Amino acid sequence: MDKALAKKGSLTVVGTGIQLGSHITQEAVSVVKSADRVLAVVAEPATFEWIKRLNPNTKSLAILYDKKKSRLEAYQKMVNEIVESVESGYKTAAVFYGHPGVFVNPSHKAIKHLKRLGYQAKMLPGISADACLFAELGVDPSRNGYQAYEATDFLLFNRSLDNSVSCVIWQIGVVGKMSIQKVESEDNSLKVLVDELQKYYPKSHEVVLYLSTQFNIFDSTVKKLPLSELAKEPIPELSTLFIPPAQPKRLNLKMARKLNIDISNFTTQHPT
Amino acid sequence: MANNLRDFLIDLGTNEQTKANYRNDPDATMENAGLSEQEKQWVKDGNLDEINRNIGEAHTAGKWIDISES
Repeated sequence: MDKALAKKGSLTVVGTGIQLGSHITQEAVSVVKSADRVLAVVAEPATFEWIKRLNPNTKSLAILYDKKKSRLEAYQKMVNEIVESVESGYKTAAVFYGHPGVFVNPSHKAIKHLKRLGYQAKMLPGISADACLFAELGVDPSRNGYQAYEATDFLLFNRSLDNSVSCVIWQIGVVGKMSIQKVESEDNSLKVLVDELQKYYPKSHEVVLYLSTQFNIFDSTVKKLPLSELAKEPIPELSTLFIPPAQPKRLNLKMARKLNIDISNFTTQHPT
Repeated sequence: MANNLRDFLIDLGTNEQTKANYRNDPDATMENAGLSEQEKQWVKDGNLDEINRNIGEAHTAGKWIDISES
């Protein structure tokens, strides 16, 4: 391999956003077009074809998934392929669906590894599902705070919730499912999650199942229902659960005095 | 490989004129894009399962992260 070329390898990781064509940034398009090689994992074939039209030298990394094996093995293969492309001297673009650093294992790993080897490697932000959720459900995460957990992580690692804070539960459609499938047993994972959430929220508390649309001619799926009904609901794999606050935030008067903040003009705090 | 439905979706996502045309007259826009009657019906019904099955090879993967490594 030409040593001079090998030193020029670099990696830029970009996201397509959620909606085909609409969510990708101009900068990300420029990165894809100007790359020597593009390695992509996207959510549906039309987006992959579009990326290929931007740069014909595009290869799918999704073919590395194997249902019989752990997803962790596929992630490592993806990292290996990205690193190899950069080490071979190519200006490499790695493209992922949504935000390339949210629910993406290989992107962060590849960047860390390449930086350790002395290569230029960076990530550009993209539009993630929660960004779509904030826009479509009218949620401002700054008003009542924002807590977010992956569904199975929430259950397995004793996470706690503050029910005065807006809450997102990611990957509710695959709660309890690890990439090496559980053997037998009827899947009651969703009921387990609902039971756990009911320790923090009343059964009647309205929650929102949300699935952002990938094509701009279709509406996103927004289903509001009481928490108690959630376990009976069929949930698409890519769905996200939004739980609005169940009680208002409480003003800490001692802290206000400590900070010397005048609270006389504060409006009554209530959940939005 | 040519695929009118896939190309139509790409065009809708990246071409403002096509988006505007679709808003004004979905049937004519789909007709001009060469969609079959079945494909038009899938679009009208919002049948994403059939649409995704028929827009090319699935070089894709749902975004699902395995938390066992975290």
